[in-house]
Amino acid sequence: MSIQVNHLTKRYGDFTALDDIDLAIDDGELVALLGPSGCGKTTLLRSIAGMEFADSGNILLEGRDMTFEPIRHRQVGFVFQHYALFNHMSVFENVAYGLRVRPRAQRPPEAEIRRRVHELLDLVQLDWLAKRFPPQLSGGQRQRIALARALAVEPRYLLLDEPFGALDASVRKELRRWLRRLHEELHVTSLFVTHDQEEAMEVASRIVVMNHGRIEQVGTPETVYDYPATPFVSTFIGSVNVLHGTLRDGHFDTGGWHLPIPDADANLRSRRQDAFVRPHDIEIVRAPDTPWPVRIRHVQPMGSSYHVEVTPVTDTVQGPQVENDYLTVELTRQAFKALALEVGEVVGIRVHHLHWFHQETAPALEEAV
Amino acid sequence: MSQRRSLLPGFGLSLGVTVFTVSLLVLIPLLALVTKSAELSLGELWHTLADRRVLAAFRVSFSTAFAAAFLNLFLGLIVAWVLVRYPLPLKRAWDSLIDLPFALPTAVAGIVLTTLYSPNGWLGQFFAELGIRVAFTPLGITIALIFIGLPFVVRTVEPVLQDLDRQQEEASTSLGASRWQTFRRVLLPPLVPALLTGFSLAFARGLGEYGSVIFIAGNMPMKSEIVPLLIVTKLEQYNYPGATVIALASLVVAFVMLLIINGLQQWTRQRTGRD
Repeated sequence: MSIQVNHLTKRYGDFTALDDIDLAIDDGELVALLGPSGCGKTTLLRSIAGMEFADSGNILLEGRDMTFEPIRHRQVGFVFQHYALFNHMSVFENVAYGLRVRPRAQRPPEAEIRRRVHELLDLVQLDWLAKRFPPQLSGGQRQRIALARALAVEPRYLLLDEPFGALDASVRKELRRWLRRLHEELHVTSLFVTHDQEEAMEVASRIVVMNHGRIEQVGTPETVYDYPATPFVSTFIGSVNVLHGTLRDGHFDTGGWHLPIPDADANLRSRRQDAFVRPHDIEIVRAPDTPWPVRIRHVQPMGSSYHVEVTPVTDTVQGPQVENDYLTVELTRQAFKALALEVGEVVGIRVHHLHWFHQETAPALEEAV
Repeated sequence: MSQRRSLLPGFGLSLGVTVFTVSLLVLIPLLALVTKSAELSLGELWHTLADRRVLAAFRVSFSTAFAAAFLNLFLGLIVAWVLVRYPLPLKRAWDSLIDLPFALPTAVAGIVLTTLYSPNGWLGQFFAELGIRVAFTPLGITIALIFIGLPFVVRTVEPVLQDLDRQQEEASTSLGASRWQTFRRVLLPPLVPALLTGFSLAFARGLGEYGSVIFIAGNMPMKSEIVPLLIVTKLEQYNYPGATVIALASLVVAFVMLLIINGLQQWTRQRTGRD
């Protein structure tokens, strides 16, 4: 176990930033800490780095208790959201910094420093910028230099705090892929913070989903998407439609809609329940007599797919209780073209998959197909 | 010649106001100084400046102003650091206190310092026991000039210190640097231009300072007589050309020194790629 966090708790006054966090990360993993802002993900990262100190609990690195060890003894490479490059030093000197500040006995000779720095600059493909100064570089270049600087000291752990947060979308996409390739090459245990679920899914081998200072779920990108452990994870990872209703006799009832749950458990007790439906688990059909008619409210082309917003049409006074009063349906390009949908027209829907949680706290998942 | 279009209009007007103000307040008085000095022949000019008493006064003025500005460099940096970085009780009050030397009539400061540091004053008696005379020596002058010059350094360094990215320090320690290395290599370099500005302001002010110095200086010719006092003495003797010559010489030397400091500043900026 490379990084182990046990019962870590941190409070700022009344605000609990970290609430009894337990986490274990293996050697060579690339893990994302994902959550909304203020969920404690950055505090957790900074605690592991040794920039913040928790109120209770401990942090083990390679099995050694490092909870109160200062940052310089932890062998971490840290990459900041806003780069934190030394603006008065050239790119070369920035990368060389970690080698130059070593005690004289451990400091490599000048020629060796040169070789190492150029090697790292080659790795981030920016050797041609060695003589420039950070303010003369673009954001993407600065972040790559920051990464080279962090790697210069050969850290055992690479910690990245929203590394792509300050970059524009296209640079971000490119750097994500680049970071993953770099990780495949170097295999240094890496932990990065992000609030962007797409980024976490694309880069990480495992995702730690956090909310309100707690870990909601830890799992591979597939697991957290397909088997969310809590309602929060459901709504935070990918988009989801929420229906308020009742479970009854193998059906999920909301307003006048009775959505069948084919292999419903016989012991299923009736109760009020929220059900979650992913936009791509809804199909739009053009049957003349569909049980769940909806009106097309808005069509949003997303490039490879189409997001269609539909509002339920019912005769009953109280229609289906849908959060925000509309459902989002995701259609592939082909499906959308084949249906030739018009805004305002009434069509039917079919729900292929919905999931729910017994209680907010007990993450037991039931599914229906 | 094509006219460059600028986003903000009024270049002509603002340049006019600038030239007018600078002429009225700086250039014309300086010109008067030069013309008045020109009443003396070269021989008389040399005679006035080469006077041992005048040279001694120059030495006292420049050495004390330099020493005070130099010490203020360190004191000012520490004060600014504490004000910016530490949560102090009554921070606002402390902050206002820094500006007090600007507001206090300099003569009051001079009299207070003289009373404190005279051989039987509150502080002077301890120095006297150690055999150190503070009041009525260049040491006393330096203390008065430290008092006068401190706010210049603090106020120029403070905003730069406030704008420093704290994460650069965290980055430095994460790369294995000690606290001293972080200070030396990461914190200090961006502060150098501001420190130099503060130094030159404090130094320039020290050269011209009169009110607070004459009380504590003792004004002994050859020992603790400063240039501004010498000018006043000449004026009192109705030796106007003599006074202006000394003033002019003092200005020229000060101007050259400030030019050098500015050059130094330029150099540090260029060296770190900020220009």
